[in-house]
Amino acid sequence: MQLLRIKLENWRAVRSREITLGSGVNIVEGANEAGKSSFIEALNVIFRERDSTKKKEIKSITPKGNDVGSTVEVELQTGEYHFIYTKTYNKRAATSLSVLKPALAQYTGMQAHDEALRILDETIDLTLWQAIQLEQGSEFSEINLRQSTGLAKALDSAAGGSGVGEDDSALLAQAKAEYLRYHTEKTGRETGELAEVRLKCDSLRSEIETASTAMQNMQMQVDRSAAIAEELQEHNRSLPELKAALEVLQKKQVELESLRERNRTVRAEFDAQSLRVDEAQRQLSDRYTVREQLALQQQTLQALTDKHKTLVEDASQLSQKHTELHQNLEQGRERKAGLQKLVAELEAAMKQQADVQELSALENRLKQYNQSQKLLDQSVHEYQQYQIDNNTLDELQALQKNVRELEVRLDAQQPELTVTALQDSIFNDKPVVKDTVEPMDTSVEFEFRIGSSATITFKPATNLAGLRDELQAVKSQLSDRMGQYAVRDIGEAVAANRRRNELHQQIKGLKQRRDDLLDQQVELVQQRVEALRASVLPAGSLDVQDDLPEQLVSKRTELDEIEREVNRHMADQSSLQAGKAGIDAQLELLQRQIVDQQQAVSQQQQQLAQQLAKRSDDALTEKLQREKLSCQRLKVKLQDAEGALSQSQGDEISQQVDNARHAVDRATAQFHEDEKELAAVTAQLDTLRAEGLHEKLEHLHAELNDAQERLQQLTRAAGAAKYLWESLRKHQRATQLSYVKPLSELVCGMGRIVFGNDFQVNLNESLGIESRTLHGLTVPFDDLSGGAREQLGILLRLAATQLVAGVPLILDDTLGHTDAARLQTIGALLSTAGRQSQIVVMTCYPQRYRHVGDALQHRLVAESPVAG
Amino acid sequence: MTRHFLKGEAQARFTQDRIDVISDLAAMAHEHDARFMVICGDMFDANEVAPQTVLRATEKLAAFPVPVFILPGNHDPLNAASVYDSAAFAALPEHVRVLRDSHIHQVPGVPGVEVVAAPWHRKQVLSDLCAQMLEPLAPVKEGEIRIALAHGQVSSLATDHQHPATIDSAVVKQALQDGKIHYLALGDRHSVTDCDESGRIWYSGTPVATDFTENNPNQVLLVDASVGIDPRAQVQPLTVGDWQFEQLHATVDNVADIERLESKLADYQNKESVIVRLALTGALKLDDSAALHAMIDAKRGLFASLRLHDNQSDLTVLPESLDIDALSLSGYARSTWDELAQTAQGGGEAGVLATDTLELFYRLAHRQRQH
Repeated sequence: MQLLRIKLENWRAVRSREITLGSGVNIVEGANEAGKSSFIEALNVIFRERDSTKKKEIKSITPKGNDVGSTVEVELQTGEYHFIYTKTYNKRAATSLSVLKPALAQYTGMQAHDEALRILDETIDLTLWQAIQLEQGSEFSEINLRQSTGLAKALDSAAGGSGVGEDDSALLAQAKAEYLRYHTEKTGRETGELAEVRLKCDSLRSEIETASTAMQNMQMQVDRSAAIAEELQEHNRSLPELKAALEVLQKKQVELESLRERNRTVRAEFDAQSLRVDEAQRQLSDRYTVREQLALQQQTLQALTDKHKTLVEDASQLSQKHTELHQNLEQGRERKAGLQKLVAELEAAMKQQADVQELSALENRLKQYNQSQKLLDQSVHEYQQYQIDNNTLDELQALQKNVRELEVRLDAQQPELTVTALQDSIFNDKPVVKDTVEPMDTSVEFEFRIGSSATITFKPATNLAGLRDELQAVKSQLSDRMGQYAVRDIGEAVAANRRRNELHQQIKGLKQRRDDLLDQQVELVQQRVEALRASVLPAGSLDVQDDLPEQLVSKRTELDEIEREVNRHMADQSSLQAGKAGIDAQLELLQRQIVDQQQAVSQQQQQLAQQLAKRSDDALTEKLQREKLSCQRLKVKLQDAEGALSQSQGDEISQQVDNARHAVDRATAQFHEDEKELAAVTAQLDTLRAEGLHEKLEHLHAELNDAQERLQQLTRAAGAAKYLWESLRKHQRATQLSYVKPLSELVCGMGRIVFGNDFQVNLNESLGIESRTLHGLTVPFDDLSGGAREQLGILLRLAATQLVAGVPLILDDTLGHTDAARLQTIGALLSTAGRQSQIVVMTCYPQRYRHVGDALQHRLVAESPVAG
Repeated sequence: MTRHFLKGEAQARFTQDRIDVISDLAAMAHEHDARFMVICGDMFDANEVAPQTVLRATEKLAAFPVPVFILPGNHDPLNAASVYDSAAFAALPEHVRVLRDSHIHQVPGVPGVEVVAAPWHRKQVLSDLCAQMLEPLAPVKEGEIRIALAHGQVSSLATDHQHPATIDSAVVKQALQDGKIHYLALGDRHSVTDCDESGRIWYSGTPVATDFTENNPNQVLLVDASVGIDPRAQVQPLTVGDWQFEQLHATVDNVADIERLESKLADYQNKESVIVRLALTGALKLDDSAALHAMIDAKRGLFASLRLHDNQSDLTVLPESLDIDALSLSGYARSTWDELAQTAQGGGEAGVLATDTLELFYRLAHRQRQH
């Protein structure tokens, strides 16, 4: 296609303007707002929008303040066609098409619009044409080559014929539409009829389940009804039987009661007779008891009498023993008194001897004690004369030491002053002989004159006087203390102290020795000595016997034996006396018992005599026999009655009657329950029957069957649609990838001219630029500079026009970011591309395109403003 | 009775015809001077039929010109939910009787003719009800006629001889020989069947066809059980219903076969009452397959039902180069087609899916071509 002429009237700011274009590169130069963009806009609009459109962007092309129609007129050649196409928008909207070739034709209105489109559709790839237009300000990457069938064909051809036919896109669209009949586009979920039918199937299944459950319930009710009917039938049969059985048992029960009554009567008679037998038995037994008691009492009386006799004998023997024992006891007592006297005499002799010995010892020790006391007194006396104890000595020695120390200090500090007369002189008014040395006391202040020539005053140092005073004081104190203890010097003081300490030790030893002589106070010893002296027989009157202790021990032993013997006799005597008293007490008691027993025997004998007088033993025995016989007969009668009763199984019959009554009650109650339940089941069944469940269920099954068949068809169809859509897409993608290569190679070829030999470009499936590689560095398209993106955008468009001949490329004010070197190479490319396709460049910077070799230059001069 | 393959009006007509047939039978009874009619069980599909079905049926029965004896069968047994205990049946006139026991019933207005029956009281029985019915019967009096009614499978035809409910043919024959009955009218089997050489044990079939498996449906039996003339009962099948259940087997491999099938379908009379189930086998090209389905779709409206029986059909679609040539496919469409065709030839589930997909592909591409 070649644009020959474009004319605008009342198009935005353009009042009327026309440009005529040639083949190849056309550079349309014009200042800003000269109308360049309006030409491009008009070209886009005329082939896209009908004249009647009310779109906002079309409304906006009306000149400001001039409410007139906006007209665009395009003259062009495409294929074999040459036509002039005119459209006026907004006011007086109109369309006209004047076909000049291949045959003259004129169209207006919609017809003109449709015919123009038809011609373009037939001769060029409109999609590609619209895709490659690069308008001012548009994104360079916004290029959609994918939809271009012309480009696709060209790429198909370049890729070796694997591409797509014209119908393929439509086929793909149909396949997609078919896919979307059954699936959602985004998630692929089932949709449309397929989803509805699947839902319907689920719903029907649920309804069928409900109806089936109701049917099952109905069948259960039917079964239950049959079961109840059978139970009722069984009740009808069994209830009369149960009642008859109850009647039989009740009759047996009446008979049993009669037997029980008879049994009770016989038992009462038997019990009464038994009482009578017991009474006769008791009477006879009482008689025997009286006789036995009498015999027993007589036996007891005899026993008591025998025992009394024995006790009397025992008492006599005891008296005899007591007499013998008394004699023995008296003899023992006499012997004991003799021995006691002898022992006392021996003990007195023993004591006299001991007192004498003790007196002698005490007197001796007392004598030693007195001697020790005397020595002690002497030592104490001497000790008291020596008063310098250790503390006093320490004090004196300290004073002595102090004196010495003061003297030493005084000697050390006191100057020596001697006056030696060289000639006889008067000194201190005293004459001094030649060569006489006169020492001076330097401890005191003094003055001396040397004749009349001089007076010398000597003043001792102040501290020397203090020392001297202190020495004097200490010496005085020492002297006083010495005098106090009557010693002259410290040597005597030391000797006196030593003697005092020796005496102290001596006194201590004497006291110890004295105290060791006596173990108690001396006064008590002296009292004891006095007492012994008074009690001890005079010397010589004492017959000293050496075996006295042995005699005393022997006699004491003998005395102990006699005492034990006497004591034993005394104990025996007490025992005999106690035994005698016991026997006497028993005898007394026995005598009383014998008397009581004799009375009891007498009474019993009287009682028995009275009873025998009333009824003899034989009479009692005979009565008992009679009563027993009657009782025996009644017992037999009772056994018969009880036998009859036990045979009647009384307890069992009662239980059976109770059981039978309960069985009848229960069966009757169950019968009524069953009747009620049957009525309820029947009513329920009437209700269920009215629902027509069978047909309902059949309808549901039929519907479900239908729906399932439809679902199966739809599922297959959906599966096929999905498979087809996915297969077509898969192959389409594969083909698209194969397209990329020829276009990519073409862009790379052009790019190497512009960017250098190591230029590479990567296109994506949609034929857009993915990235550029230069100098080994790959950069995503979006990260490239504005200039690089613009240059690559132009290259891609140029490549597309090279592949699809006949599509004009219109560039609106591009290459604004391109440096001079690249302007040169791009200019060369444009020039080359212009030989194959028409290129229209709109620019206000024509110098950018001065490197385009073959180009027609057009200049748009600004026109005067449109009249308002 | 609902048939899932009957849609809309066809199902409605079928249902109505099954009720209207009572009127047809009444007319037929009048025409042939029948003295009474017996229905040998399963008059209803179930006890749980809709009340309107019962009402419509009983209305027709009430108008029946001769006495009608109805035997409850296994589908409509005399249980607690029995349809025969419904108000509609309670309101029927005296000449319509439900046989509730095995007592002997005199046919009203027909002296010397008795009916005795073995009704079902539950859906499943575990004894030979017929034998139990026959056992206590005394021989029919001289000059009288006794017709017995029973429901179930007779042992001479039954596949499950061991089933305790099977009607013992020997017992029936013996009863016929002993003069206890003169004719046994049987129900349950939907095909008219003569069960014994004596000609006195018959299944009357069904007056309206209900399934593809029935032999001689749409019939009733006109029975002349006169005694002393012929030991064999005179039994005459009479056609009453007009519904047809047809399973049509055909091989279709090419256009000619399709045309033959079309011709066969065209031959059916009263197509609106014909239910056709096609059992087709063969291998077709895609375009032929499309043609076959188009033909069936075109004819479907004529019939009560016309459908391909999937279980009985084995149709293979074979995409051929001719198919693809006709579509002039190229580019990725062509490569897609080739891949699908290859998968289809592999068979199996994937093959079936690929074949379905090819058919769709063909249809879409063909439509595209036509545009």
